[in-house]
Amino acid sequence: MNHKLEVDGIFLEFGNRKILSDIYFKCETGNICGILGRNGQGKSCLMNIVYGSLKVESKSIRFDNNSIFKAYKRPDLITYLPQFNFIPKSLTLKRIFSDFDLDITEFLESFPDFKIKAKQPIREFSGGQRRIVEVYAIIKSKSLFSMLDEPFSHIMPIQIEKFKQILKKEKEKKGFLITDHMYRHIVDLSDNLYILKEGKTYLTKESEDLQTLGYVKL
Amino acid sequence: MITVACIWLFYKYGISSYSALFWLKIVTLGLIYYFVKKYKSKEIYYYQNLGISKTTLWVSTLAIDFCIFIGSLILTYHFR
Repeated sequence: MNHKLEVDGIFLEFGNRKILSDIYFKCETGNICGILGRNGQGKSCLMNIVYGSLKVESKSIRFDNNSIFKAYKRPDLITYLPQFNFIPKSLTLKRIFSDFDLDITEFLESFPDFKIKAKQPIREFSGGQRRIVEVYAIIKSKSLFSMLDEPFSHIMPIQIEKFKQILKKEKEKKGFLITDHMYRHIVDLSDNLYILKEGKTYLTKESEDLQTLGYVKL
Repeated sequence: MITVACIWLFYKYGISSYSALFWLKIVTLGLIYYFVKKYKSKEIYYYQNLGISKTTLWVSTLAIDFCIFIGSLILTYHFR
């Protein structure tokens, strides 16, 4: 069954500085929606607003046309990978996979380097290894949608390619909202690509739009 | 650690120390709440992704800790 996440009517300002004002995007099962934007344009804020962890004056977040205000209370609907490490350092790989109800053997087949680390707490992992576990857990989580904030940062290129394959496979079952400054990967993955600029979302149609909207110099 | 220290003090000084230990425990619970909120706020996302809210986490952990404290005081009082 296909599901739909629609976001609009968001208004966010810090003091007199307007951050988000004219937002619309839609993400459906089978879609990867990319969001690109310069630093400080409000990409992470937008994700936190969708998740419900950042309160705003007005917003409309709809899952299959039903408004949800506190999406963080519904991990069956949406999960969120923040841009920082969020898994408690004391937890082991086995415990994390058990908590998320995921198959650890499948993970170890994709990332065999972790075989000797399955029983170690992740405080003993490198920053990149921790990020791999976090990105994998959220991509594979059993929700209808997942939001990924900078999933490719701190991860080496060969692992990024693995994650791109995993995302392409997983999107058959769910929808993804992704933002990252490694924009070529986002452009490559996205079915719908939005640019966030001066508080507004622009749906891009071709890669030249990225230049027109001032995000890159091609 | 706080509970163990309180029990030791209660064992040593008896029922007259109860009021002071009770408020010491309340103050330390407040401090724990403050420091965990300040330094462990990022880890809340882990629990939220599992469907466990902040309220559930705080109420359950603080309530269990406080119950262990009260239970230990009662046991110490009886066995003293």
